[in-house]
Amino acid sequence: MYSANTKLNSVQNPYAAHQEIVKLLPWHINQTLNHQEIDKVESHLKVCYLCQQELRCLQTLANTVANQPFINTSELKLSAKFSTISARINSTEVEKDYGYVSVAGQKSLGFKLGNINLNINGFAHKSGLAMAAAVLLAVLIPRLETNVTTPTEYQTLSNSEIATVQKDAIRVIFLDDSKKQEINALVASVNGQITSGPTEQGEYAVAIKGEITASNVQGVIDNLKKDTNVLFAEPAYAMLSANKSTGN
Amino acid sequence: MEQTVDHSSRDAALIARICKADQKALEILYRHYYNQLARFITRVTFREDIIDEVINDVMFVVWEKAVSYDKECKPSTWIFGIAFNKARQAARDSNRNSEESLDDLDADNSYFEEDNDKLKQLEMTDWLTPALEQLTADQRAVIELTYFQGLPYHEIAVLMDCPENTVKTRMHHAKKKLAVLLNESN
Repeated sequence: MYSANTKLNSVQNPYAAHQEIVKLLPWHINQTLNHQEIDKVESHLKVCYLCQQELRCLQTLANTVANQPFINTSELKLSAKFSTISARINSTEVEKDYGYVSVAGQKSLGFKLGNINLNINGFAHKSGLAMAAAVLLAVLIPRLETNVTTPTEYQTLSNSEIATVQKDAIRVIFLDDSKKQEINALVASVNGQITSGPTEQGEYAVAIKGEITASNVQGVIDNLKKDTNVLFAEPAYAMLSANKSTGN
Repeated sequence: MEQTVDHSSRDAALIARICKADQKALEILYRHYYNQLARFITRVTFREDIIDEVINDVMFVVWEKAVSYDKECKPSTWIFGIAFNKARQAARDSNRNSEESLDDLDADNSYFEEDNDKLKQLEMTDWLTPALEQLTADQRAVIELTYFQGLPYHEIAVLMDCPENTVKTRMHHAKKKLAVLLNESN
């Protein structure tokens, strides 16, 4: 019924057909219309000067957009950029496994007791909430003793596994043109030692000597990042899947 | 039109691997899409400083939501759809203090004031970049997806989550705004 009316309109009112066709012209140029639409457009173009002119303008626009320079990012930079995502994924997986969930920028501590989930936002700043939570916990403690769900039983979207931070190691990527001597000197200056690398992506594993704490690892990373030769530095994560996937 | 070869099956296979927590597959997908997404985000937002942040968010969503990809659209449409939403969201968030709408961003020239070679190259090659500043972010997205990504209007509608007629109308209005410059070029 609709198509019959449209056809009737097209015959009786050429302007109606023009309005429909002129909006299809952009995709006639990028060659993504279906056969029926192509037939309609080509028939109309034979008799419509306005659409012929429109087509020429759109062709100019299409050529200009298509010829715009393409952004090319080097493989090395892509490796460094992807490491940021990888670290984010790994840290999220760890949070999930230990029941920490980020809610609107606030950390929540989540408990899972059998079929009951309890989240205490902001670790119960409000006394009322703390009281309610305490009462609820007191009631549920017997369940806790008999039906504790371990972190590894949590279901996540990605079959998560626990990523562990290797406390004495960091991963570093240096600029392409960094010399071996400069790299060695820089690593030595932060009391580190290259244990492996560079990988295909230019990544080095660096072990930190001496007393290891979270703050001095971060201090080493901060110092390395100050050097212009360092493209990327972060704590080393050990993921089982990383080893498995290398076989793919 | 950059994506003349259909990589749908390759990308679908990678997404299937991502569903099994394969980070290597995510990295391959990331490498395939980075440059295209960077250009698209730049074109939509005119903001170079949020490219990495947005791509990071896009790929994180791909990682988290891979199981929800239903194969009703092409993987590239799904990924660009996520990018479109994230780019708009990031642009809005970073301008929330001044309460600018996304379309007000079009008048922001700070993007070109940065000493960045690739951006200067984009600016200087032709008349198009300043001309695109006259358009809304949605209109620029339609132009980019049509003539650089080579997508049909019905896929753009899925990607932008709007009716097909809205896509056609956005293109039509964009072209009308650019008409003077296009006629001069002819």
